[in-house]
Amino acid sequence: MLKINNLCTNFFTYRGIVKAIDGLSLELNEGEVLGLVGESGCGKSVTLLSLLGLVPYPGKITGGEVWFEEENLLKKSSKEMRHFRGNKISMIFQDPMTTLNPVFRVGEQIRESLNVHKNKKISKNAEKEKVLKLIKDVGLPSPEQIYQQYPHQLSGGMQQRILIAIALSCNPKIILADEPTTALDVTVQAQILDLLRKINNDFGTAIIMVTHDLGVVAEFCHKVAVMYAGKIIETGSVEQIIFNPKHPYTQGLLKSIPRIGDKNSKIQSIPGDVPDLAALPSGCAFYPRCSKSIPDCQKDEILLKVIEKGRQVRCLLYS
Amino acid sequence: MENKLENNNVLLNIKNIKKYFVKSPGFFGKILAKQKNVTLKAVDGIDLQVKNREVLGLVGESGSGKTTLGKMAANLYVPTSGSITYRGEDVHKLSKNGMKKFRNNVQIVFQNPYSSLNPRKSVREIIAVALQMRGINHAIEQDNLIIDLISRVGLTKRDIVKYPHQFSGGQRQRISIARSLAMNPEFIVADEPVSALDVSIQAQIINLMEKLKEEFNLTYLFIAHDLSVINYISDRVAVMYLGKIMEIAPTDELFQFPYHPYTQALLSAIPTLGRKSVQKKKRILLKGRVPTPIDLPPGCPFQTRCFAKVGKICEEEMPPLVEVSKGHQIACHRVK
Amino acid sequence: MTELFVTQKDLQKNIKFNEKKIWWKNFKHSLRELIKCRTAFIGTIIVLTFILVAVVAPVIAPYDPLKASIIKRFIPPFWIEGGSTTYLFGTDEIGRDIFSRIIYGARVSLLVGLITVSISGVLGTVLGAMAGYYGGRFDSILSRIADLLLSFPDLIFAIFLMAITGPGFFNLILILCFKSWVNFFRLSRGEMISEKTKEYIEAAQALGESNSKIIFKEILPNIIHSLLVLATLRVGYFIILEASLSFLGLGIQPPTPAWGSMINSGRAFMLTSWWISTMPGIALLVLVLSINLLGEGLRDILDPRLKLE
Repeated sequence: MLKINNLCTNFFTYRGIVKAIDGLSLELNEGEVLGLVGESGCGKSVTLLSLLGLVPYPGKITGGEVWFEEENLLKKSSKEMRHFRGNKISMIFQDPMTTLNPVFRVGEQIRESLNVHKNKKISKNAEKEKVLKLIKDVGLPSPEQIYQQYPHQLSGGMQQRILIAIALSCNPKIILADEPTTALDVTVQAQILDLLRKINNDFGTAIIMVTHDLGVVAEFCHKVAVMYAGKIIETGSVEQIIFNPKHPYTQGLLKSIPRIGDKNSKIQSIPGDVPDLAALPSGCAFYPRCSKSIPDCQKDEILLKVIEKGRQVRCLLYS
Repeated sequence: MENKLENNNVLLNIKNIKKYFVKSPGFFGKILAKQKNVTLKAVDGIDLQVKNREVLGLVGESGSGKTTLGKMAANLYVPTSGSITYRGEDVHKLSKNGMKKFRNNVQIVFQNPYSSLNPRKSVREIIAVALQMRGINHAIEQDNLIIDLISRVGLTKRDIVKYPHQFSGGQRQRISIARSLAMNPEFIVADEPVSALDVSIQAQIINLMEKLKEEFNLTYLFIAHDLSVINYISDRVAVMYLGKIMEIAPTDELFQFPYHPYTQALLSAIPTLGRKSVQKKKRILLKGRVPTPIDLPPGCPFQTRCFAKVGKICEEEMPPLVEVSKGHQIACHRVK
Repeated sequence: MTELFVTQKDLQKNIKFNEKKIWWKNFKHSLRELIKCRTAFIGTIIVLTFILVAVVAPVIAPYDPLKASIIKRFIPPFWIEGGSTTYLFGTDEIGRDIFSRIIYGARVSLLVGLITVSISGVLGTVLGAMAGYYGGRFDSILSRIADLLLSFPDLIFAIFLMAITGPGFFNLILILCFKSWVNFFRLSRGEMISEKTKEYIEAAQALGESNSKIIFKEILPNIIHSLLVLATLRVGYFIILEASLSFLGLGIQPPTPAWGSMINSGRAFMLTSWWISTMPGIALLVLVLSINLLGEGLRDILDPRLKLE
C-alpha cells in the first residue's frame, strides 16, 4: 500500500549538509504495524515528516519516491498534499500538551479536522455526533463532557487519546505515530497501545510507529525496521528482529536493555557515541562502535541485502 | 560528623516527611477574588531508610513525588514537616561545619544532562568548584584530581578544557557524575540519571554507576520510572504513588510477588521482550481518572483506579505500611 | 597537546594554554561574525570614531568651542557659497565654530550615555538578579517600585526632577539613573527566573556554594548577554534624552557645548542659518543610529551563538 523508494532528506545547516535520511526504502502493507526503531538522531522522526512533506527548514527532501495509492506523494504540491494529510494519512505526535491548541476546546479541535476534509455538506449536528462518537471510540467516558474541556483540563493520557481521535476522524488508511507514548507514564502507555491495537484490528488501519523502546515494538508491531545514522540497517518481522538479530547494532541494542527476570545477565553497552550526521565517515556508519568489524567495512558504501523474504540487513557479514 | 550508623546499618533515615507546595493567590486574590491557597501535596508522609552500601530504587510515575523526595534527601528542599537524619544527625539542625560535612557525604546527580552543567564553564572549572568546596585550592592538586576523576568516568585528559556543549548527553552525564564524586561522597541521590539518554548510552551509564559503586563504596538512592532499570540496579525497591509509598521490598521479591494492586498494575504494564506466544500475560489496565496531587481525596491515593478495593475504608483512611514478609512492606487495606 | 608532562608545572601550563587558546578562538569567531554583519560593522566603526574624537577633542578641534567672535557670526558650512574650509560647518549666532562645538559636544553626550548606563546597568542588574533568585518579599517590593517608576514617562519625569534639583552635569546623571535602573532590573530578573529552572544551579547548591557566589559566578555569566545588548541600546537612548533636556534648557547649561542646546539656540535662525541647528542634529542622528546598529548586531551575534552552543 505504501512504498518508499530511496528517500533522501538533507538538512542544509551552517555546519554543512546533514544527511538525515540517506536512501531509505520501505514497504507497508494493509493493516500492518511497522515499527521504526532507532536512537536519537537516526532520522526516524524525519522519515515520518518526509512522508507528509512536513520537513522543517532547513531540511529538504532531495530524492526518492513515496508511492501511495498509485501516486508519488513527493511530487505533489503543498495544496495537493493537504488532501492527504489528516485525511488518508494521519499523524500523532509525541507531546500531546504542545500539539493540542490550548485555547480551543478539544471537541472543537476534533471537529476542525472533520471540517477541513469534508467533501459534502454535513449538518453541524451530524458533525458533532461524529465527534462524540470518535471520543467514545478512543475510550473516553462521558463524551459530552469531554467535548467541552480544554486540553489543560485533561490528563496526558486523555490528551493523547484526543490526538488519536483527531487522527482517526477521517478514517485514514495509515496512521503515523511519532513516539506517541514516550511522554506518558507506563500505565497510561499500556492503555494507549491497547487503543491503537484495537484501531488496527477493528478498522484495519496500518500504523508506522516510531519509537526507541524495543519493548513497545515487541508487543505491538508486526514488522520492524531498525535505523542508524539515516539509513535502515535491518528489517524483518518482530520475532526475527527480537530473537534473531543479525546486524551488530541491533544485537548490541538488545544486549544493552536490562530485562526483568533475567537478573544474572549483565547488560553490555555499545561503546562510543551516536555519530555526527554532518561528518559521516565513508563506509559503514557503525564501524567505530562495532565489535565485529573488518577493515573492508570502512571502504565503500554497504548496501541493504535481502537475506530472506522480508528480511534485509546492511552489513558485510551477510554479503 | 561522627561515624555513627543507626540500627540495622541505616545511613539515611526519613521519618514522616511531608512536602507541601502552597500557592497563595496574594493579597488581591484573597480579598477581591476570594481565592484560597492551593496546596500541592508532593510528598505526604513517607518513612524510608537507606542502608549503607545498598542501592535503594525509588520508582513511581509522574506526580508520585519521587524527585521531591530525592531532593529533600540531598537537602535541596526543606521539608514541610518530618525529619531526615543522616548518620544519626538531624539534617536540618546541622551547624555550618556539620552542613559542610553533609555536603561532602551526600551528593546528587540530575536527570537532564543538558541543563545540569553550567554552559559557561569548562569541565575543569565545573569540577574545580567542587574541589574548592572541599578545601582543595591548590591548582596543581586540583588538576591532578580532576584528571583522575575524569578518567574514572570514562573521559580523557583532553576533555577537561572543553565546554559542555561540545559533549553528547551521555558524556555530560559522566561529567555530572565526576562532579559529584569530586566531593568524595558516600551517598548519591541519582535522580533519573539515565531517563534522558538513548538506550545504548543508558547501558553505559548504568554500568559506570555500578562500577563506581564498587570502587568508591557508594550508597545510591536511585530514582527512576523505568522498571527494567530499577530491577537491574537496585537491591531494594520502594514504589511511590501520589506522595506516598505503596510498597517496599527486596528487588526480586517485589518483581516476583507484588502484593499491592498498584505495583501489580505497574509491572503488568511494562512492555516486555519475552516470547510472543508466552506474552499472553494478564495485562491489568487501570480505569478511572488519575487524581492530581492538588486535589487528593482522603484515604488511599490509589482508590480512584484500584481494582481490588476493600470497601469504604479505602476512601477514608490511608493504610499504614505493614510488613507482610521479611523486608516486604505494603500500604494496603487488604492486609488484615 | 602532547601526552608527556615532565613536571606538574608543565601540566598546569598546558591546561592554562589550552584554555586561553579556546577563549581566543571564541573571541576571534565573534569578531568575524561582527565583520560579517555589515551594518553592525559600520555602526561599530562610527561609534569608535566618535569615541576617539571625543577623547582627543582638544587636539582635533580647530578652535576653542567657547570662543565667540562678533565678526565671524553666521558663516555657512564650507560647501555653501560664503563658507570656507576654515570653519568646516560654519559658525553659530555668536561666532563660535560649530565643528569644534560638535566635537566637544560629543564628549558630553558620550559621557552622559556611558556613565548613566554603567551606574544604572550595574545597579539594576544586581538588584534584578537578587530579586529573581531570592524571590519573596524582597522581590515583591522591588518589583512594585519598578512598576511604579515605569509608569512615568522618562522625559517628563526627568524634567520634573530637574526642576527640583536644578540643572548641571551631576544632577543630570543622578536623575537619569534614578529611573533607568528599572529596565535592567526587569530584564535581569526575568532572565534569572528563567535560568533558575536549570539544574546546574541546584547542583551548585548541592555542592554547598553560597548564594551570592552562585548568583555572581554561576548565573550572571549566563544571563549577561541580553543585558549587554540592552546596555548598548540604552546608551543611544540616554544620549537622546540628554539632548532633549539640554534642548529644553535643562541638563547641561550653556556655554558648555551640548548638542541639544546647540539645536535649541539655532531654532530662531532655521530659515536663514539652518546649519546651526542642523549640523548638531545630524551628528546626533548619526551617533545614535550607529549605536543602535551596533547593539542590534551584538544581539544577533550573541543570541544565536548561545543557541548553537
